[in-house]
Amino acid sequence: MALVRSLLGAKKILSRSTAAVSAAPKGFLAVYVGESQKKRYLVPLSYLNQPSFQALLSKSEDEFGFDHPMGGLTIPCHEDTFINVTSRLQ
Amino acid sequence: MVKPCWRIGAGMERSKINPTKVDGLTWYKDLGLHTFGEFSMAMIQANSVMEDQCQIESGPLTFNNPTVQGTFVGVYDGHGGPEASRFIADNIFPKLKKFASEGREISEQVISKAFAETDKDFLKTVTKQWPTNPQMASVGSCCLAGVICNGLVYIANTGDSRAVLGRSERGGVRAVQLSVEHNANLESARQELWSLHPNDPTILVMKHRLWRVKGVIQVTRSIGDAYLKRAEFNREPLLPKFRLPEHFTKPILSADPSVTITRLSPQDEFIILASDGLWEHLSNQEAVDIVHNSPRQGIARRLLKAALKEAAKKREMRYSDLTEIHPGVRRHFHDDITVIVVYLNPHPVKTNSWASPLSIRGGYPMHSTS
Repeated sequence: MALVRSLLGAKKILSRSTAAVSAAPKGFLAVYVGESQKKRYLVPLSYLNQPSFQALLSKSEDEFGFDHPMGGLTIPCHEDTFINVTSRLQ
Repeated sequence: MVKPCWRIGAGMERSKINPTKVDGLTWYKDLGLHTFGEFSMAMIQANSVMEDQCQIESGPLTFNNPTVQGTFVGVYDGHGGPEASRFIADNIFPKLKKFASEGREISEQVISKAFAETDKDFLKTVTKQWPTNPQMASVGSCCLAGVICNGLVYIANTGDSRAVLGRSERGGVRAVQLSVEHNANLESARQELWSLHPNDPTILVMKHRLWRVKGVIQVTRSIGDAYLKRAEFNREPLLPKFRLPEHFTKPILSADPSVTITRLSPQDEFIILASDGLWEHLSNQEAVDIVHNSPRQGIARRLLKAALKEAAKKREMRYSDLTEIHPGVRRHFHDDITVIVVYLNPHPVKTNSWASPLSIRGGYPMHSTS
């Protein structure tokens, strides 16, 4: 967790947890990231408008269609790729 | 976050007596009057171009027999683009009237012929446009049509939209599904395809945890989808993802509707007709309970909201946040949704309604992202 935060330099990704799932706080949504094991992140809604984040979602569309298997948006990429992309977003 | 740029075109509002409204990505008509009672309509867009279309027509159902009066309701859930669903909305009702005029009545055969000719004419359009617009060959649509006439309700369905009747029972209302659906994830639809194509081991392929016809499409019957009906389109310049590796001689998808006919009883309160975008979030019983327990005004929008609340819950976010998401990326959260609730009266509600036919079309054109 600390590592993730320091990589991002900000708390854009507020939390990740494989424990109990609850609705995200206002302005955020859950995203499940990983190739085999999925980790849950909370990301700001504004990411949905970013082309680089939309590219990750296209990957998901290729893999799952629009039926995200975790319930929340599921992105089947390596966690590092996800962190790399999202750390560049404002 | 959302900055809509609305273009309200012809067909959105055909009659000043029956105004329809737009709010963000939602199009609606909260309450109107058809020949046999009231109705309510609502649609919401999720795709970058709205692929759902719908209509309600009430009044004479033939050109030559004024005693054949009734209500026609259509829900058209397009895929691969909006062209097929728009084509259906433009053509199927006039065709139904034409065939009904020939026999001077409504029948199962009349409705099936209207489906068949609509599909045939759409495929002609695809052929005509093939040199300049080959992707039309991969555009298709589900087609759900309901006709209420003479104390009967005919439900004709090609694809996976659904019509559900709310029948009052002591202490509540029971959901009775009137439509037969054609989706590869239903056992009955898979059996049908396997029996029609016994020598094709790849007629159904499991992909992304879902059954798909030839690994590409979930619906097993549709209007359009020329590339799965005629081998002449299974070649360049159709996009590779739509091209099948092997030649076929027999159409893979059919446009034949499954038709059910139900005699209405005084216990039959209403029918909900909706695209699968609604039914993936609400069960038949949940939907009829909402309609039974709520005021009629705005009931279609209430069902939409109930579905969107479920969609938000599944995506672990707040409903208020979901409503802010732009079309296009929004498809990851829910599909385009169309819902029409038709309340039933055993007799025409007012004699002069015969004199003022009603025609409302929804979904064309909606918001378009640039």
